[in-house]
Amino acid sequence: MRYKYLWVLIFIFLLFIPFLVGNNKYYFHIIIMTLIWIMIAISINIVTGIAGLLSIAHGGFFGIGAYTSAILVTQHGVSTYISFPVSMFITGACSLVIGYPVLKLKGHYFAIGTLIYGIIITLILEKWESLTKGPYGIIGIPPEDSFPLPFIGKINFDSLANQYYLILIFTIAFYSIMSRLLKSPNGLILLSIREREELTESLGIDIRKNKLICFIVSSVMMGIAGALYAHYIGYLSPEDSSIFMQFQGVIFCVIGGLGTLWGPIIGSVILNIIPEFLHFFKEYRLVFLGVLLISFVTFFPHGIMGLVPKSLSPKDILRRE
Amino acid sequence: MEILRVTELTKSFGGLTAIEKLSFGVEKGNIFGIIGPNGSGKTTLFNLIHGFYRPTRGTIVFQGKTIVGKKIHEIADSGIGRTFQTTTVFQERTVYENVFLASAGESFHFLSSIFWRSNKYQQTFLNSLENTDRILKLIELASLRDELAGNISQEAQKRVAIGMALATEPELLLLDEPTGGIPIEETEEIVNLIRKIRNLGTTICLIEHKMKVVMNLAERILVLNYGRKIAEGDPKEIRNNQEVIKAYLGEDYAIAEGY
Repeated sequence: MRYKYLWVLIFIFLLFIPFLVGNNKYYFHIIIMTLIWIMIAISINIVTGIAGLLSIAHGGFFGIGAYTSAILVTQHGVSTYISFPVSMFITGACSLVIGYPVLKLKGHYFAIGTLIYGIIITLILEKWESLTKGPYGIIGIPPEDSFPLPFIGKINFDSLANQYYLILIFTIAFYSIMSRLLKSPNGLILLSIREREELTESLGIDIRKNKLICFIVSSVMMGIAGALYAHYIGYLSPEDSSIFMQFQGVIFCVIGGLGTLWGPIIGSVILNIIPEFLHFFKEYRLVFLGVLLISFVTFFPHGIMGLVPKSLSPKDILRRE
Repeated sequence: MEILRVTELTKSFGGLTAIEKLSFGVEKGNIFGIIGPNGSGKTTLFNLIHGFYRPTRGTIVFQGKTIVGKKIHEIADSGIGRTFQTTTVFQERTVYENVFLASAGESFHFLSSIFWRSNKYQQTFLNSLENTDRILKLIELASLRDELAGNISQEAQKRVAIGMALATEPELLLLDEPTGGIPIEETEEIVNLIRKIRNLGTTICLIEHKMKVVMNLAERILVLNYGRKIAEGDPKEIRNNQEVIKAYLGEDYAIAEGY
């Protein structure tokens, strides 16, 4: 643990962010959205970066998680302590039903298969008006129910600072799931499947089972991110789960470094915060982002983490715990 | 005792019959050589045994159980390891990780390795590490353990590939041209390694183009041509078999090689 102190510093900095931001709602919004994007990018990194499965259905799982919790809370008056696990379960079940047949396909065909399911999910959210209110979207989603703590009392999540802390906790949990996965033998299996499927299989490893578990785990994570987003932002529309938001998550991973531990985080932070400083360019900032993306894909295919030599030292993966 | 029995095996790709009515058996503890000109169906035979292809007809019995129709990973789990003709290792991973992956396989539960690493998990992990060290010592690559497998020499990569197949603890090891693409002077080490593996009790099936290697190593040799068996016997018989010399070696080649 060479970077122990760096970790402590980062943690303290994250804890004090609400005090630094104060009452500026705009900055708060950007920071919380950055955290949500980090969660999305981490989920996508697990399935696309580590296991090499270019899934385009994950935007849909974000929507399923978000809508399930939102519908349960707004239309049925269920507590968020129940709606969160239910939305995790439903996202997981949907990803099992979708993943099992689609994982028979390989490479680009897998991407096309998931693309179709991604579009179907968005269409269902748009057309099943009796349940999802269609294109009008769901409005008035309350924040998460308060959380009782000893000594301090109840913690309400209606303030931006508390929303920030709640989402920060989940982001850290997501990060540690990805980190533990990457440093485990199962992470090694997924990385190997990404590199050479047939060789992995000839070593006696059931690649389809491993892919399916990885697909489901990352989908459930996507669903959690969606539910947190729904209760933070307060309204949902079908666009929130479109394939374009999925592409955006993939772009964050690619710029940060696909399949690396810090790539999705660095990518999301940079690409969420830099555009805010570019407002004076007006619409030209999109041109800037486009140029950035193309130059990264061309010159740094391993993303920002690819510029850091041996950032993810191979030895780390088999570190004894 | 026979460890592998292939009976009337046939494989057609559309109109092309790659393997035709092939029958042979491999004795336990032997080194069994398979030779034949390019395109004679040697690799196809391995792909059939290891489940990459399904036979059109015929049976393959391994340790008394038929393995036709099983999935690749099931066949690998049942005790058949293999290497590929083109050297295949995970180039982006280190030598150590390559062998570790093979020896750990699927012994770890996905969710428990993320959320709860029990004592049993730790114990299995330590066992896999030990097994990896043992294999690295056997393939004599302990000094290169932290190198990326893509950065080491062809010969060393071949040994990593053999080590990976060996780490799955197979009863039968299928080696597809273990000395292919390696300079003649370096083949000796691979030959010694193969002999060492056999002496540890693993049966070996070997596809080989270098005549000296296969004549030197194998107890029994099967000769294929156009998917058919044209001869089977010990190296001496094969060397003197007129049909083999005519069909495979060619008279010029036979004279040049000194057979």
